[in-house]
Amino acid sequence: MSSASAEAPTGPAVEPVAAGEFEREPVPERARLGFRSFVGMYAGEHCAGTELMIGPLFVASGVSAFDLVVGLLVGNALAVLSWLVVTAPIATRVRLTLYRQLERICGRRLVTLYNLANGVMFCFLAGSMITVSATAVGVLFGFPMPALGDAYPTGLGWVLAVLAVGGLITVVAAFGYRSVARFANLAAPWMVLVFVAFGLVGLSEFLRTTGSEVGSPGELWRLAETAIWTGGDPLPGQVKFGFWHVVFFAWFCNGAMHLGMSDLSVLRFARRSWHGLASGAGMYVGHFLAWLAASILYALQLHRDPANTDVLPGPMAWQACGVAGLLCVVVAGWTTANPTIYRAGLAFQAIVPRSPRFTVTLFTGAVATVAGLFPAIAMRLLGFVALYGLVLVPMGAVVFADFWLLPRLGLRSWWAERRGLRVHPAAGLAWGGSLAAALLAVRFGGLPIYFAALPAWFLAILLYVVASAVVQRRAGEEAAG
Amino acid sequence: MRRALQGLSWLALLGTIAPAVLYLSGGLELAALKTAMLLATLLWFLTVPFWMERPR
Repeated sequence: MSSASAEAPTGPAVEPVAAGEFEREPVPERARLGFRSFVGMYAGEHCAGTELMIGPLFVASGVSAFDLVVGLLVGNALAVLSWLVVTAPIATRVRLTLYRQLERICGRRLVTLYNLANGVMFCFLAGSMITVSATAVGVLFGFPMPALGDAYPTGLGWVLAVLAVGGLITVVAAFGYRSVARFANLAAPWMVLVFVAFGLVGLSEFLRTTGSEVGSPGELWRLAETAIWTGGDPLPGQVKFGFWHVVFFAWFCNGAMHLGMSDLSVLRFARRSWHGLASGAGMYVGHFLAWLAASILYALQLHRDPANTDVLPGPMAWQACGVAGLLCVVVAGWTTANPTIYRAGLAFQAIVPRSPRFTVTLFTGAVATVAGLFPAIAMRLLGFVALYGLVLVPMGAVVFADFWLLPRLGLRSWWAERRGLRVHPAAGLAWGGSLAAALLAVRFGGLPIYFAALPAWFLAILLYVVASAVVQRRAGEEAAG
Repeated sequence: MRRALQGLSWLALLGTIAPAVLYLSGGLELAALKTAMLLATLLWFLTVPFWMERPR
C-alpha cells in the first residue's frame, strides 16, 4: 500500500522536478526521466507503514503458505501489468496529470466530487499510518494499546500518543513537506533492509522456537506451511482469505494508482511507456518481501502466545530489531502519512481554491489524526484498502475508454472541454453507476469487496461508452436541427 | 569526500542487514543484533544526507 506521490519522481543523477510544474500542460522532453528514477521511487513509496499492518492481517485472516506466497506473486504481477499496459501508455502519450485529463473529460464539477472522495480516502489512509506510528510510542510509555477487535480509543495514553504523533506529522506536512519528502527518499533503502531484517529475525525465531532445522528450500517450505502460514480459521472478526483473495488484494490494493490512473501524474514524466515496469520494484519489495516479513513477525507472536492476537507493529518491531525496528515503524508511518496528508490537502484545496494550502493541510491533518484515534480503520485495513480502490478505479476506466475506445468508435474524446460542460453526464453515470452496482453487489449479493473493483472497472467502461454514444448523438442531432 | 561518505553509507546498509543474516545462521545473539542495527542506522542517517539527492 502506498500514498500517491505528490512529487514527480527524482533520482540521484536527475535534477528534481518540483511539484506543481506542468500541472496544466504536457511534460516537455527536457523534464522526462529515465527508468532508474522510477525504480527508486516505486521501491520507496510501496514500503510504507501500512505494510506492517497488512502482513499480519493476512495471518489473522487464516491464509495458508501457498495461498499467500503464490497469490502475492500472481497478484503483484497483475498489478505491474496494469501499470505497464494500462496506465503508462496513456501517461506517456498524453503527458498530463490525472486531474487535468479528468477536467477535460468529465468537467470541473465532477472532478471536484472526485477530489472530495479522494481527499476523504486519503485522510483515513493517513489516519491508519498515524495509528501505526503511535504503536511505537506505546512501546516507550507502556500504555494500553488497541487489540485486533477494538474500534474505539483504548485510553488516555493512546489518545495522547495519537494526538502527539498526528499533530507533529500535520505541522511538518504544513510547514515542510519538501524536507520530509527528501527525508523519505533518504530513509527508503535503509527502511527496505530493516523490513527484510524483520523477516529474517522472525524466521530465525521460528527455527529456535520449533526446534526445526532448515537445510533445503523444501524444508523451509515445510516450516512455512506447518508453523508460519498454517491456514485454518481466521481470527474472530476477520474474513477468511484464500488464494484468490490474496491475488485480488495484491492486484487492487493500489488499484487507484494503476487501473484508477492516479499514476498518470507520475508516469507522464517517463521517457518510455515500458518504464511502467519499474512498479515491479515497489510490488516485489513492498508488497511481497515487506508483507511476508511483517506477517512472519505476527505469526511468531501467535505461535508463542495464541491468545495474543494484537496487531501492533511497534511492539513486534521492538522485539525483533530493538531501537532500529522501532525507528523503522515511526519513519515508515511518518514518511508515508506526510505525502498522504499533503495530497489530501491538495484534493480539498481544489474544492475550496481560495483557502491557503497551509490552513487546508492543518485541517486535513486534524481529520486524519481524529481518524487515527480509532483503531478500527487500521485493524480493518484490508477491507478499507479494497474500498479505497473500488471508489477510485471506475474513474480510471473512464480515462481509458475516452482515450482508446471513443476514437475507434467514431466518438469524440475530451467531451466536457469541447462542449464547455461542468459535468459530463456520461462520465458521471459511469462512475456513479458502476460504484453503486458494485456496492450493491457487495452489500446484498454477497460479493466480497476484494473482488468488486475489477467488474466495476469493466462496467464503468461499458456505461461510459454507451452513454457517450447517446450524449454525442443527441448533441449532433441538436446541432443539425 | 563524497566517495568516502558513500562508502560509509554502503557499510551502514551492510550493517543493517548482515546482523539478521548472522542471527539466522546462529553466529550472533539477539542483543548484539539490536545493537549492531542501531549503530548501522545511526551511520546511515549521519552520512547519507551529504551525498544522496545532491548534485555531483
